[in-house]
Amino acid sequence: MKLNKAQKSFKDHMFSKVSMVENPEEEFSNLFNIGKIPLDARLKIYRNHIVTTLSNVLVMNFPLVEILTGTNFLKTAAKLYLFDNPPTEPCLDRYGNSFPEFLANYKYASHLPYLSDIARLDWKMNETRIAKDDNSLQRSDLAEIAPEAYETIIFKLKKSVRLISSPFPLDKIYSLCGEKEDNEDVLDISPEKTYILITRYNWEPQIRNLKESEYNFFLLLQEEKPLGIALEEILKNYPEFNFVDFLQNYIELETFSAAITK
Amino acid sequence: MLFNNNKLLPSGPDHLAPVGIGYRFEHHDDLLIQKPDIGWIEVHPENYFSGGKPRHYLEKARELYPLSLHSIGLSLGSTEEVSNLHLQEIKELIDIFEPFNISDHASWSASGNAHLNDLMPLPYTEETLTTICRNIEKTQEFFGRQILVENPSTYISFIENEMNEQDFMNEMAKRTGCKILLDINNIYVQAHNHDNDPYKYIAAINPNYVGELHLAGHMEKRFENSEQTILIDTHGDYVCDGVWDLYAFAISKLGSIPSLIEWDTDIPELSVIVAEAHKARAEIFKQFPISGIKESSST
Repeated sequence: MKLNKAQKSFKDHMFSKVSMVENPEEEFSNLFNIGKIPLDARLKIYRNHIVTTLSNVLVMNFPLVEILTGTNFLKTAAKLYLFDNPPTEPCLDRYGNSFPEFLANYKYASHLPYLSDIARLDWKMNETRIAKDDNSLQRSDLAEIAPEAYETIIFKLKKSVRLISSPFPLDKIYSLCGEKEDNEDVLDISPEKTYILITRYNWEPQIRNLKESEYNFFLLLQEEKPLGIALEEILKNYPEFNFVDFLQNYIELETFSAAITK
Repeated sequence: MLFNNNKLLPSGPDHLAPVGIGYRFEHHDDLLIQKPDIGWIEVHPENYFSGGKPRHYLEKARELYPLSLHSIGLSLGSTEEVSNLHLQEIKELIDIFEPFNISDHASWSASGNAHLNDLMPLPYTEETLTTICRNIEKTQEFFGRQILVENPSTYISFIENEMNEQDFMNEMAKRTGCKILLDINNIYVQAHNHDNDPYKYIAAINPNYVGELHLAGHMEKRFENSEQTILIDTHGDYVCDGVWDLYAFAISKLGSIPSLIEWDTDIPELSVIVAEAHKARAEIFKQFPISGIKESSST
C-alpha cells in the first residue's frame, strides 16, 4: 500500500468507533506484522492515547462546562465530538473552537439551554488567555494626536480582548462557578440579555459586564471603524452614550493597544 | 531580550552539566525560584506559540538556562508537506529564544485535514525515506539550520519494512545532514515490543550523527490470560534500570552527548526530575572524567 493511503487508513481507524479498531479493515490489517500480541491491542495503544489526550484537552479548555455538568458528562460529550472533529493542527491550546456549537445540538444537554453559551464564554476566555502579547494604549498616547484628526482615529483592541453577548445571564453563571462553597441558593437563569467584555489581567482572563451601547460600540471598534463613523452610528441608536466616560474607563482597563490615525 | 550566547551549549566549568530536563507548566515557578543545577531545559514549542503566561515563564527560564526546542507537530514522516504556518510559528520562537538544538520525530501526525496528537509509526521503506528526507530538508531550509530527528517508540511494525529502524535513522541523517536525537527509552521500548536487541540497535548507529540523547520512564501493560507484555512510552515514571544500563552503553559508544530527562505525565516534584538528571550526569562523569562534553555540531 502506498504511504499516503496507509496514513489515511491509519487516521480513519484512529478517529473511528472502537469497533473499527477491534475489527480493522483487512487491507489495513495486512500492513502489519502479527506477533504474540494481537493487532487490535497494539492499535488501541495509539487510539487510547489520542482519545484520552483530546478529551483531557477539552476538559482543560472548557472549565466552566466541567463545573456545570461534571467531568464524566463533559468527557463523554468530548469523545463524541472528537471523532467528527479531529484537531487540524498540533497546537492543542487551540483545539475545540466548534465544541460550543456541538453542545448546542447535543441531545443529552438539551435540558441545559445555556450550556452552549457558557462553552462560548469558556472558549473566548481561553482565547484571551493564550492571545499574543501587545502593548497597552496610554492616555498620553492620545495627547500626541492633533484634534483635527480625532474623527479618523481607529482604536485597535488588544489581541487578548474578546466580546460575547448571550440571552442568558452568563455573568451570574460564571460567578456561581467560581464559588468555592456549595451554594444552596437557586440561580434564576431565565433569559436576560448579557453583554460581556473579556480582558487579560495578570495573565488571567477577567470578565466585565457591558451596557448594550458599550458592547455595540466595541463591535464597531473591532471592525476598525474610524471614530467619527463609529460615534455617528452609536449615537443614532443610543443618544445617551458617553464617549468620554467610555474612553477613560477602557483605557484604564488596558483594552486598547493603539490609536491609529490616517 | 538578550541571552548569553556563550550559554548556547550546555557546558559548565566542571564539564559536568550536559544534562537537561523538560520544563513543564507544573514547574514554571519552581524552576525560576529553585534554579536547580541542570545544564539546560527543553520545551515543546507548540506550548509556547501563544503569548501570556507560558511565554512569560519561558523568557524568564531562558535567561537562566540554554534551551532546546523539541517539536511534536512537524509531522516529518507525512506524505503531505510540512505546514508552512507551523514552520513559521517555530521560527518565531527560534529567533526570539535562540535554542542550541531544534528537533522533532521520525513519525507522522498529519493526514488530510486532521492532525493526530500522537507520534504515528512509519514503515521503513525507500518511499518513507524519500518522504521524510524531503520534509527534513524543507524544515532545515526554512530554519536556516540543522535539526535533530528522534527515533520513535512504536507498538506496531510494518510487514513491508525494507530495513531496520537504526539503518533508516542513519540513512536519513546521511541524506539530509540532520542529526539523530537518540531516545534511549524509545529504543528499549521498541526492542521489547518488537523482540529485537537494543544493544545491537545502538551499536549500529553512526556516532557522528548523534546530537542529543533522551531518557524517560515507561509503563508495562500486561494482557489478561497472557504472559505477553507491551511497553508504553508514557514519560510518567523514573528511568528504569534497563534503560540506565542502555544509556551507559550508549555514551560508551557514542561519546558524552547532551542528554535530557523527560517527564510529562504524573509529574513529580521538580527535585525528583533534577535527581534523575544528576544520575545521568554522574554516569557521564564516570565515563568521561576529564574530557568534558562533545560539542553538538548543530550550533
